[in-house]
Amino acid sequence: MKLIKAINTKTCIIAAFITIFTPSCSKNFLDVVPIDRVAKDNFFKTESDLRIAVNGVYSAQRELYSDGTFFVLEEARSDNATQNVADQAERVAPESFTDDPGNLLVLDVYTRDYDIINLCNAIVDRAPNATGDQAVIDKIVGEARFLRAATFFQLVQDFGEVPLKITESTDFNNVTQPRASVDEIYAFITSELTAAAAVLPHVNDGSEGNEVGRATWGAAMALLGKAQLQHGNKPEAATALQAVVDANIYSLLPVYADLWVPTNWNSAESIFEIQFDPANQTGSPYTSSLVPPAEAALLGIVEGGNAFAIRPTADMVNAYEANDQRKDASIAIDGSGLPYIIKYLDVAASGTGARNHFPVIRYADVLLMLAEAKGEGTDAYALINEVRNRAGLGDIDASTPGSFIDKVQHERRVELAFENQRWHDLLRLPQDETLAIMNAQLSEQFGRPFQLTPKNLLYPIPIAEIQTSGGVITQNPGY
Amino acid sequence: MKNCLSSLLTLMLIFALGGNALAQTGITGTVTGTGGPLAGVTVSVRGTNTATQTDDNGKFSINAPANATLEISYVGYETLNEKVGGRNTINVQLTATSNSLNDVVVIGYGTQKRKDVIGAVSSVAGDKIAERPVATFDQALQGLAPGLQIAQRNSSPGELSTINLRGIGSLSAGFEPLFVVDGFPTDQRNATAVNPADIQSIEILKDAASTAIFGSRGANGVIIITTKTGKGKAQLNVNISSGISTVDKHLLYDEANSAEYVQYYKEYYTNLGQTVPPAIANYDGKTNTNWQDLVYQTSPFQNYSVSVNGGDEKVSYLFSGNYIHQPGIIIGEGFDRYTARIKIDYRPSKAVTLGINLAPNFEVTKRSSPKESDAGSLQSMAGLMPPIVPVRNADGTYATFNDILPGVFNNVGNPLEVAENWKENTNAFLSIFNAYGQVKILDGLIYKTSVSGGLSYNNHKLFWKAPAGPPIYGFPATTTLNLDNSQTINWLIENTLNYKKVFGKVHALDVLAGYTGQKVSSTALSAGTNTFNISGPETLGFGSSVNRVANNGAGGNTLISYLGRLNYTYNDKYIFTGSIRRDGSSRFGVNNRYHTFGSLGLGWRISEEGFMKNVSFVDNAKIRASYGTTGSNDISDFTSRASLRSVNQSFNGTQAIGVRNQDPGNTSLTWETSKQANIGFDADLFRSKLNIIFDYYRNETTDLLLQQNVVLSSGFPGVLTNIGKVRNKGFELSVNYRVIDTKDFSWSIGGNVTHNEQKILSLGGQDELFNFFGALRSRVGYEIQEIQGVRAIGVAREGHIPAAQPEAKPGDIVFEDVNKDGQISNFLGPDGVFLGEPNLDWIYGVNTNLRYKNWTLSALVNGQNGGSTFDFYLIQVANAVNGVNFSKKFWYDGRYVSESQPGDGHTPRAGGLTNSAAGAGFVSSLGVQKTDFVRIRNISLYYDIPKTAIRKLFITGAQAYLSMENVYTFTNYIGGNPYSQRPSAGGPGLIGGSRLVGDGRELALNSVGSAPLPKVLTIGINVTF
Repeated sequence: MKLIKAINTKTCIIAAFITIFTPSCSKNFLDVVPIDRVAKDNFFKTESDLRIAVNGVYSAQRELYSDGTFFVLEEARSDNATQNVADQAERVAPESFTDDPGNLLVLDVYTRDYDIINLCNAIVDRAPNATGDQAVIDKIVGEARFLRAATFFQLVQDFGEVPLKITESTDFNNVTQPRASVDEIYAFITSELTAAAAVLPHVNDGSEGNEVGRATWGAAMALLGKAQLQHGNKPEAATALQAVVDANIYSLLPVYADLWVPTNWNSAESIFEIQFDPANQTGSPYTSSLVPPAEAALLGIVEGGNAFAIRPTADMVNAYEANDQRKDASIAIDGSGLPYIIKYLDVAASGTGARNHFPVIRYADVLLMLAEAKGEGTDAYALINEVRNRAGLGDIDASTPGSFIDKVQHERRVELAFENQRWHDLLRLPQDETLAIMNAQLSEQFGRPFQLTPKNLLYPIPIAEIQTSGGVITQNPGY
Repeated sequence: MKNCLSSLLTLMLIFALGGNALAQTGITGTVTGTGGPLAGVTVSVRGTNTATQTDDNGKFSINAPANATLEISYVGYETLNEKVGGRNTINVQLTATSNSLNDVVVIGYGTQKRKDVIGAVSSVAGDKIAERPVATFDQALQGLAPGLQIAQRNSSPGELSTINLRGIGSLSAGFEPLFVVDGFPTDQRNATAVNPADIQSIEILKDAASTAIFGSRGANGVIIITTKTGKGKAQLNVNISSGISTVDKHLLYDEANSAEYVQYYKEYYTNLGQTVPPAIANYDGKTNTNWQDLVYQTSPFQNYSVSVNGGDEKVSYLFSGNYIHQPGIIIGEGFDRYTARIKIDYRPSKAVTLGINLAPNFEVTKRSSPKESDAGSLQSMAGLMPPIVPVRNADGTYATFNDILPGVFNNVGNPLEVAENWKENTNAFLSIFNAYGQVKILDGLIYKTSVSGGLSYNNHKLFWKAPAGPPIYGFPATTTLNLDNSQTINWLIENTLNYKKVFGKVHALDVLAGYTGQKVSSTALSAGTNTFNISGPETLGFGSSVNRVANNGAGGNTLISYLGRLNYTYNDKYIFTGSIRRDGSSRFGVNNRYHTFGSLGLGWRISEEGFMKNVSFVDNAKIRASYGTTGSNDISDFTSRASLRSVNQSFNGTQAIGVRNQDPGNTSLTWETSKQANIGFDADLFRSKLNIIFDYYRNETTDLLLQQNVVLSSGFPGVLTNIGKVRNKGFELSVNYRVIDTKDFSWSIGGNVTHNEQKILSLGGQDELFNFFGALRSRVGYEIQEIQGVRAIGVAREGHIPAAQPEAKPGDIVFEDVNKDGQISNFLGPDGVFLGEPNLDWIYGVNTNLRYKNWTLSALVNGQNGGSTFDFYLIQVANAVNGVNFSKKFWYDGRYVSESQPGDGHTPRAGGLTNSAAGAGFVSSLGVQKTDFVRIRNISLYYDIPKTAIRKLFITGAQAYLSMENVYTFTNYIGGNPYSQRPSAGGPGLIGGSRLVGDGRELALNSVGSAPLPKVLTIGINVTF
């Protein structure tokens, strides 16, 4: 009896313990829902989700520009700018054409480009299942297609053939794709931009989802023209660019220097630009990375430092005609007598960066591309002269010395200096001319002969990509 | 604080008096040891709760039936079972042992007697740790147990060490062992907060037989910390020690003085065909600043411990408090820690035990520079700053690099100015608490339930007051405030049933079954701003509102486990252990959350066999073998889910949020599994004078949680997967020998050695993984993180310019043209070869203990061999380029000057690093340093104050001691601390394969100036009332 009582007491105590201290054994216990991120499979369900997703693509694109690698890969590579040779070897290599497949800047741009593309792919792939106003959804998909096309355009110009990865990566055992031909990539860019232009508005009205600064019809058409021109399809380029001009949305600002006022955002001349904004922790780094430290101190800029160690070449400084107002708006001379880039100078730049936006395509670019696409003629010179007159220069015409293409190239060089255009412009010239221009400028700069070869006109595919693909993805010739 | 301490003391005294056991009459006797009467020996009547303790004279009295058996036990002595046999007086002598067969060894979810253990388990007694002048027990463990590698990456006080057992077996997941404090599984951060004086013992579980019961988290081994429990008559113990920390000057960088510096740089600029900077050309011959002398200091060390403990059949208790004050040997650094513990076990009836264990802990860590910054930590700056820069300019301001050498290099800061302006404090509150209840249901069957919690709060503040003048290299240009707060709550509920019984005298059975659930949740909040226009205030509101940022994060994970173990011993000869554990973790993909782990072990106590009875010199011999699987879930909480994070974006100034990819996700992600085999042998010989333990192990980690590279065109640089295999195999040997053991004189010596071989067997189809821009590589068939670089093979001489380097000048570095293509590539190219790896082939420790009457002298030596590190500090930071100062041994003494002064044949001429093969030397064998060292880790001298001298003061025991830590280090490593490692940086574009968890460091790379571990000399007194 006593024993039974004792057991009963114990049983009660045990039962009490078990009740109090046993975690619920339900399956839910292992389902810990993260609250600092959103599960991908629960997203892309509504038009609002898609809008937030496409905002993320703009953000990724801004970060790609903000790490400044383009200044090294496009400006320092070209004859416009030079990288201090005492700087990090990785940054000096593209400038002196010693970059190899292990170059980290090349790797960086390649990786970020495909990050943007993959974000776009997710939107385009998943949008058909989202609920909401179909017109709104179509517009968002149009933005994603524009951004994806812009990124492939960047890739094809820098690397030539690249994998045409146009579906979202989900099954990682099955993501390796061989490189597509340059023609295939341009065909894709063309169809994407055509589709985007069909759904994007001419002007964003500023309401939510239609904020100024998002991609527009004009951006898609101008980019389409640019891609066609780069691929050598001048008539198609002219058609697209002419449509942009005829739409009467854009105009040149009367004063060239006004383009570079730090707060002159999305002006009448702007067609698509990178939206920096220090007040949202998304400022531009270019003031601090392009202004030499001593000069920054002199100008009272808190965050100066010339992190890119990039300056205009002597060749660039000398390229401007006398009285070209664009020179002083683009280049200044520092205390040590060396030139530096001031297009993106914001003396109020703070720890979160400068306010200046960065132009991707602006109307002057469209006018000059249209001139180039149309070919020599009165129309073309009229377009060029519209740009020249704004810079305080007189007209040119067929009688002006030099070939038409040289005159266009020159105008583009001084008008669009340090806007990441020059290197790609040079690539439109016949190969031997491009090589000759670069060899001459490099020999002058380094004081020794340079013999670039056609291999140097493309960057190497990152070695990591080739190795990871197990050889499915191949290298550019010569590397 | 003083008030606090005194009330704590009062409280302790009240308990001490209240807890006194009532003396009883009956059997009386005396317990002695080799050194005379033993006080505080527990004498209990077997099978009952009746117990008492001996007094100062070793005398006891207890009530017991005439047929009872007395169990007489005392820490460090063999437990004696003495039949009463009707006697009224029982005098016994206990035999002291180390590693006694009947010692209780703490294992997972229970205890075992040493003789029954067949896993690879090392035990370290708490008293070996308590009196060392260290703040955390892990620093004292070094060299004491085989297989255990403890590396103090950073000499600053309060920093965690990197700990691993039997080599690193994981590439992307963590490699830290599991820490278990009084049954509560936690991490190193929480475990090392335990007051060393509270520790009863530390058990290190190394093979699957012992760790499989921890299942998912056992793969990297388990370290169990058990705190003391109150026993017998109330005792008040006070331990006070105080001393000084100093820097061991022979371990500092051997920086050039001004004359050498000027000489070197004149050669440098001449060799490079550049103008010698005026400050060097026109050096006044006077300024000669030794920056290291200014940065290092001698500082006091203090440690106060007080504890009260006692117990009887109803209640046992322990209260303790500890305060440690340890300023760093680098100016402005400090560490203060306050810990307390309350541990009470209450036995209301014979069958029921209830207990609580609370251990709050508060720490304050101070830093005076960004410790992990290549050029910004004080010790790095002291190494970089030229000796020709004075401490102060003529106008009284601190001189910086540019003040004296403008336009030569970046503006390296003045370390004294930085130390004044970099105010970085971390306040941490860490606590572990536990409550349990235990019921004896039937004879031998015990049910236990416990709930434990771990709480930690971290409060970090950095205020950098940017000095006037141009910005300092590596520091924010403006005054900056950063605040971080984080908290983690960790709940654990455990229910176990344990049945222990001996059947038919020969079949001993011990069965355990249990069920546990654990939940961890954490949150973090950070905020910051800069550009303070008002001097003085250090709050966010006074800084720039535009630059103000705030962010928070949250994480969490859960774990459910079912566990079971069977121990069976036949006739004390044959031992069998089987354990099983099924774990489910929230961290893994929904398809693969559960996994079952298990192990089998066999032991044969060969000494118990009849044929061994005549072999008189063998007291005990046991052969052990085990095989099993354990796992690791040491990845971040939500990696298995494809997810998106929030980002900012503005459109024409209108702010919006967006999302971007966070983790690619992998729904089939599952446990990393380690298959571990262990064969061991224990022997006690010559009346236990000689103890030998040997283990051979072979651990294969499969389904590695590996950051697998996928093509970049997928949009992701890597996906966490379960592929690949790494093997670690090796052996451990430990030997202890009591040379002499008499009443007045004893001497013992012990040692242990571990050899480990590592090999990557598979990377799931890939050839290699890159870390740190490809300078570190993990390749199939090789060890983890092989160092990749170009091999320097000498210095060019006149008439012997290598064909592959036609532009080389005499004195330039000659590199090996591995592929014979007539040119030298950089480290990523074909001439890059493996130059070494971080895996240590050998680690070892030797300790000795010498006692003469009341005097005891002990010493501990430890060392390591066979590992290398890539020292970018020497070849990329303080690298004798651009006017920065340098190590003389590395760059100056053996350099090539001319054909008549060709140097040692491997040190290049001044400027040779930049000039040779387009700077290939920046990532070359020049920078590979061996991390071998031998260190006299500790020497201590103790004096037991004779009892006759102190009895009148109510003191029952007193000991004075002198102890010195890090006495001397023998090493060729330049920089003093071969453990220095760079925190992981990954690379641009998210490439780099950085470790996902753990302390995030690259194993084989250092780039921050290393600071030697402090030499700490203390004197102390330990008094028991």
